[in-house]
Amino acid sequence: MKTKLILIAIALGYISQVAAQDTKRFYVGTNPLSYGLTLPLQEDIKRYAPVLAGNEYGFSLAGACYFHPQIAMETRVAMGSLHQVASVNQLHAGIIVHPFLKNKGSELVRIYGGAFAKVWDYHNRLTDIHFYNLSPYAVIGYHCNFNNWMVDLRMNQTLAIVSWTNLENTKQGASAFFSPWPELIKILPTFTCTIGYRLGERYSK
Amino acid sequence: MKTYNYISPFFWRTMRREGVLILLLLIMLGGTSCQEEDLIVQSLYDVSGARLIYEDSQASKFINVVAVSMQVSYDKDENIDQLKRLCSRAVNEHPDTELILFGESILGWYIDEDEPENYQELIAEPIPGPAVDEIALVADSLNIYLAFGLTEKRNDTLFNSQILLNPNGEVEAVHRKINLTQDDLSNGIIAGPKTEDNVTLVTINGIRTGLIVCADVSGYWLTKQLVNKNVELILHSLASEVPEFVFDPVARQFNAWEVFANRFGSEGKRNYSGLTYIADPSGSIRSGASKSAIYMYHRIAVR
Repeated sequence: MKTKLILIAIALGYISQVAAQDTKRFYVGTNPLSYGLTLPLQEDIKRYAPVLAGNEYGFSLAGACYFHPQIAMETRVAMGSLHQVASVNQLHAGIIVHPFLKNKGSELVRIYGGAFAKVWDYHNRLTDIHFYNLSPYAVIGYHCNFNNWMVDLRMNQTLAIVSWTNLENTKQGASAFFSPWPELIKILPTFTCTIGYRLGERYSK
Repeated sequence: MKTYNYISPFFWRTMRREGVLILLLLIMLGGTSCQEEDLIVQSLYDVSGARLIYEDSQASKFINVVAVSMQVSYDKDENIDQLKRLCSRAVNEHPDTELILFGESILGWYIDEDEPENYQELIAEPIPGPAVDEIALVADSLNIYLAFGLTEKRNDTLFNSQILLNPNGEVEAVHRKINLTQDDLSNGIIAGPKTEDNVTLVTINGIRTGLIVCADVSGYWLTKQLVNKNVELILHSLASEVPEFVFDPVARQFNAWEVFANRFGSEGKRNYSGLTYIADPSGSIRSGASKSAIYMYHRIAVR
């Protein structure tokens, strides 16, 4: 609970910072699929659908600020139960860049790439043991805009992980990481769909 | 301050009108969970992370274990002979072996898809019974704990069980699988009871050792019972086609060492990976292999 409150505070703090900056554009949004993962689903869907939800479970919130016409800073939080035993709270932060902004009138302006880091706390509620992870990842995505609303479609690829835990007598570990199941799939990207609301001078009616 | 005056009225005007209600609704939805009560559906996020380093040099309790991945024959007698041979070989190569674990339903194929129930009737054994008695002689002569999975026939009912024999060749414990798969149901297997006497925990060398069979790992009730009893070692016999993960999520689920014994090779349309390992409570696989019929040895050290 304490961790959740801290994550919410960080997210809200960041969004208020965004609101207070001398910027003309920002957006807030949520990943609707993350909520679906808490619903009763067929076993295989429940097992693999998180790949399509960017591994975000339960409540999710994203906020971004364009501090340059082509560049935005984004942060995301998500918190929810994986299943009866474990819950995951996660915080992401990173930068996205629209490289084709000069191609006005083209669909290319909506494409972006980016670099993020995420930290997540995998909490085994039965044993009260936390497994913490810090991971850099790369993204490529596309913004669909509908007036003030937007849909952000994104592919994420984890690159490496540093892990540590409060389990006694256990030291941290780190490794390159492209898939949780490397013997079956060498590289396993995840996908995120965010529905957001765009705020700022450029979007005002 | 100028910026604040610009953004703030705009933010509140728009968010009040359209955004706040949606966000509140989603927050409420995010706090609910409608999962079936006893089924733990593990996802790929359960196996995402880097390998940790578990320090056990200060341990006070030890047990030398062997986990066997056996290529299983259709014929029960051949499997009994093979099991006996593998036990002798393991003890011959590692004379300090104290416990050997084999996979799930190791006296025959896991499933004969053409006639599943008839086949399970054919390989089923009572406990005690002729096959168990014969294998018990091995445990006695080698002076080891010996655990393996079998289809158990009890009062005309079939259970998917794991038996633990002690070094005197006596039945130390029997665990009947609680969380059945579709294959188990096709085999005519009945679920073991969710009762205290089917939460199978024995003490070996001072180590609290729990027995589970395959998909029992997906049972919340059984997981909770074993965790509440401070289980320190899980003997997990199973039949699995999946290859290896980066780390072992089961050890993390129970906060216990796990000995994971599988089977290898083709059985009809099924191809078993042979993935067999011994993992510490942080999930790090200390000794493991797959893609062959093999056995793994490790000295487990519990603090």
